[in-house]
Amino acid sequence: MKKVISILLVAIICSNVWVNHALAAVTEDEVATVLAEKGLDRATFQEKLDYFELTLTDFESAEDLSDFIGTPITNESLDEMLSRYGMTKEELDALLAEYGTSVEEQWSIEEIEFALDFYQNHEAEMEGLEEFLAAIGLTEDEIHKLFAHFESLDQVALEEKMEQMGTRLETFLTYDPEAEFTDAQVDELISVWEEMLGILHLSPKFYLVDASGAKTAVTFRELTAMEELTSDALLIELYTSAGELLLDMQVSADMLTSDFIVNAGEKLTDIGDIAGELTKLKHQQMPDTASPYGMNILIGLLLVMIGVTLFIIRNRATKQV
Amino acid sequence: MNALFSKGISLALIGVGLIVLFWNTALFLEGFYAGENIEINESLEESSTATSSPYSKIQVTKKKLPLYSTAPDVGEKIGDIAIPRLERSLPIIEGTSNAVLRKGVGHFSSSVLPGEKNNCIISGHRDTVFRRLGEIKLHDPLIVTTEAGQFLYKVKRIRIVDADDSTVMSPRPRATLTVTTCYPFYFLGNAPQRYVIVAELVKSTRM
Repeated sequence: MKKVISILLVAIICSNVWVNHALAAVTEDEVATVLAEKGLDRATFQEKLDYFELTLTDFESAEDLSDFIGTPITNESLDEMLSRYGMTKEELDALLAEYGTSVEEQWSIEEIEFALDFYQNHEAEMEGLEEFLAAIGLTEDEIHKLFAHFESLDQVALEEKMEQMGTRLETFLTYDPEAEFTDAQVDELISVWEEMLGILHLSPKFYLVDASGAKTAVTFRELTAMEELTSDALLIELYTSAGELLLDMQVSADMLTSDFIVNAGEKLTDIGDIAGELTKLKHQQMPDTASPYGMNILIGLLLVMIGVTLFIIRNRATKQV
Repeated sequence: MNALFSKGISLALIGVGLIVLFWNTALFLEGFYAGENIEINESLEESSTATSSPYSKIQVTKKKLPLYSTAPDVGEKIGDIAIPRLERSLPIIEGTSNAVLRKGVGHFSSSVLPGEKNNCIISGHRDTVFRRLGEIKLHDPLIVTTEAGQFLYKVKRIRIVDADDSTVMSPRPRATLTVTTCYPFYFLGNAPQRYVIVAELVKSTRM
């Protein structure tokens, strides 16, 4: 038995060595060829290897190495990339600076593109979201409260569930706005809506507002059953499930088509995603890391000294009398 | 009577002064001695079997599971940051309130946790835990260890910005560690600026 195990061990070790050997297929010649092709000097390449804690054995092939190096940043390669994006160097610098980065700290053209795609996409998402919120008359303060609420939720679970809701809503997005909803569709829409609110720990209240400003409470089901808004506007008050008022918004009758509700749902799923990943860092300041201890120690010392001085002066005065 | 009154005041001043003095010295020392000296060892780099680098093909086989199942509570220790250049290891605590910053490095709660994609922001006092932060150089390693694993970051950029510079907090396409402290590195006075070290995740070892 012992023998079998040791033979097995040897076999395993040998196979590992063999696999490792097979992986380390990049030769010095291949490295030289790739570097010459890329126009990259050996020192810069070594610097990049060290930075990523890699050695030549980590590369399976010349292509693998080539992918790792990417396109070195030169004036020509940068110009070529800029023309593909239809940007000027100034625009690129400005966009990167807005996110606290720069061309200089990137390793390759591919890295710049990766950052650029990410930031452009983020920029567009933020703009779309802000436009939508402004259209329904939300203030910045209310948006802050809403984001603070989203941040307090369990992000991992939230994103997962919101994705499911998004796919359920997709069937409604392809729906012809002229056609009537079937009863089954209405039920599905209401159940998606309610489930979404549950996930987000929100509880809204709806009121119909007429020209004189009088409010009448109405349920979501009643709302979906309406042919058109019977009053001038709809007031929505959004509470957390704990009963705290987050925001109120008023939408006019002409904004309220069944389209709008579907779109609102779609935007809400985006908010869940964005709140989880991106926007949470907006509008916040870096903490004050100047500790007050030094100043306070000085103040303490000063107090002691004043006290001692006073004490001495007083003592002298009483002795002299 | 006047003499007694005046003597009382001077003794009270001495008393209050001593309390303020000792109390603040104690708070200062708590931060000053937070963390421990470490020896630089190479063991980190050896454990390459279970690591993944964003640039190697190993990434493809990376587990899709989230790194952390629950968000830490404010005041809870979430890990340590080892700075080989300074031969120091410092505790990272959730939150950036005064109470947290007194004890160690604070993790900015609304940023992602160490190792996660996007921007992870940690801050510390310039005169206690991060008093030698200015010695760190470009491409220096910073190693963060949490319950989720060990994460090797490399310093990509060092800059000095205004306190209200929002570009420090902006989202990142890759897993990034942003270390901030107050600047200038004086012991006294307020700080209108921040010293910011941006490091990029180079290798991670899942627990």
